Amino acid sequence: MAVFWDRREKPYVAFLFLTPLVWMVFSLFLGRYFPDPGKALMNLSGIWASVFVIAVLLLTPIAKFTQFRMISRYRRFVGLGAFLYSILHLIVYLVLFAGLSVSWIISDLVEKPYIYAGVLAVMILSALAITSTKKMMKRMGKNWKVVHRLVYLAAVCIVLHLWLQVKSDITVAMWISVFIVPLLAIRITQLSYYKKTFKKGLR
Amino acid sequence: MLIRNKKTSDCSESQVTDEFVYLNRRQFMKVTSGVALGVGGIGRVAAALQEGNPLSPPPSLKPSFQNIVETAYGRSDKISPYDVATSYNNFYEFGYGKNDPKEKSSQLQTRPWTISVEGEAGKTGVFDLDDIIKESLLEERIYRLRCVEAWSMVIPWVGVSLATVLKRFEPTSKAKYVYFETLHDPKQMPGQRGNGLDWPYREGLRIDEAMNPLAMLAVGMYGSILPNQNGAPVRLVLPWKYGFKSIKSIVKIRFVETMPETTWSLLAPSEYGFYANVNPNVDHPRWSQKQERRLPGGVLFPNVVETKMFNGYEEEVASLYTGMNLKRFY
Repeated sequence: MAVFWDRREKPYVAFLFLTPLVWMVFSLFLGRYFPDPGKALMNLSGIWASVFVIAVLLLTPIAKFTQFRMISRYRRFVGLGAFLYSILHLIVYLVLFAGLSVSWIISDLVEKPYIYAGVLAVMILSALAITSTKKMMKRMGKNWKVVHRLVYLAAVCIVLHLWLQVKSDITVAMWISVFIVPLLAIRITQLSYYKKTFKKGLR
Repeated sequence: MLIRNKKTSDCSESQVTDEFVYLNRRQFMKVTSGVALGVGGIGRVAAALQEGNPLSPPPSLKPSFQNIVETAYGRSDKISPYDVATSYNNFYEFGYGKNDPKEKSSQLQTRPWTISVEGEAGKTGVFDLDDIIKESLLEERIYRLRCVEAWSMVIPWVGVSLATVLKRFEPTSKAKYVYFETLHDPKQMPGQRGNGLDWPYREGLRIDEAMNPLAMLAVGMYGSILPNQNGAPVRLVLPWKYGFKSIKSIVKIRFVETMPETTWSLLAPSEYGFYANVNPNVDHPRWSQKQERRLPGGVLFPNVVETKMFNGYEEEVASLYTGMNLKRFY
């Protein structure tokens, strides 16, 4: 735990990050998402997962270009927030939306391209969460950074996931893209770095 | 004169359990145990408290219709609570959110209401709604409503058979299709100020579909007039088709020779077809159609049911589509 709570303020930050979750659970049991809680909660948890991904993409540029350099120490924390809400999103889909109906889930998995994008994003965020400890950082060495840059791919997946399922209301898809796309664009210079590592392969 | 000397051991009037409460003990136990268990019931109870009586319309609407003829339609289905049917709506004229129609439709003036009848028919012109649908003809039919977004409800509609109304306009032999239009008035319908859809909302049916006895022109639900959010004052109800075909707040009926353009198929032809029959074997690109969430569900688990061919009305309507490739003519 010492590693996790390496700063005194972290419990408060964690508490802050958990408020949307607490609020959603609270509202759910108050009947606020009645009569179709799966749909409402799926939107909300998805939006929060995207917000945390946006936040994590924002941290590095903020630390680089402003005086708030200390902010980058929260990268792991914010990243874990993204992981938490994406898992919540998945659970809400499985339980509250599809009612754990196997045939419903399978037919979605097989046929709906936006589901692939979503699943890939959740898988990436989970892998990053698992490898987020200091121990894993040490063990993975240089590869850690390469792996953790997969967060960019997760962000691309989120944008795809949103646009592929738009019905006619594009508000949410648009707002999230407005933040994610520029944050990805400023990293385009790093593409050559990927080419190199790809050629060399992971060590 | 009966003189009663009250003993100190006697109960006072205020201590006597009310007969209503006594008789409803089981109900009371059920509700409280549900709350105590912390599952299932809470959401429904909370929603009931929020919205008042969830199963029937408010008393102010109750006496709207007298002498509705009851029919055998849907007697076996469990009706969705009134509050669910009136607070969870797709009616983009009032916004994209499911709650928007209820919140933003109060400005809609539904009386007087006229419908303009045009095209290939003997009797065309502008008709008052009250002249088109006489209250003496009203009947109640309980139909399943299946939305393309894979949720469904069971609603007791009040109205008349669409065929009865259309025949009165004496459609000619050229009338192969019938086209409908929703009111276009951004002043009353705030959602029309944006261009999410190409207004006015348009829908159409092949004439034999329109003449099918199942097709209904509804002016009420739950024994009362239609609330604005449900398409007041007059809407279609086509229970074997996805909900978006059942056009609301109709102001125009036109008999035409060729297949009319419809709002959703104009917006995304690959996703929404002209026929839009409920079909578990033809998936929408974004929503699997094999099952549906019958509303209301519980707090944690939705009420998932298998979707039936033509929403379970196969017997009545399948003959309309014999020989058609339902995948292509979705």
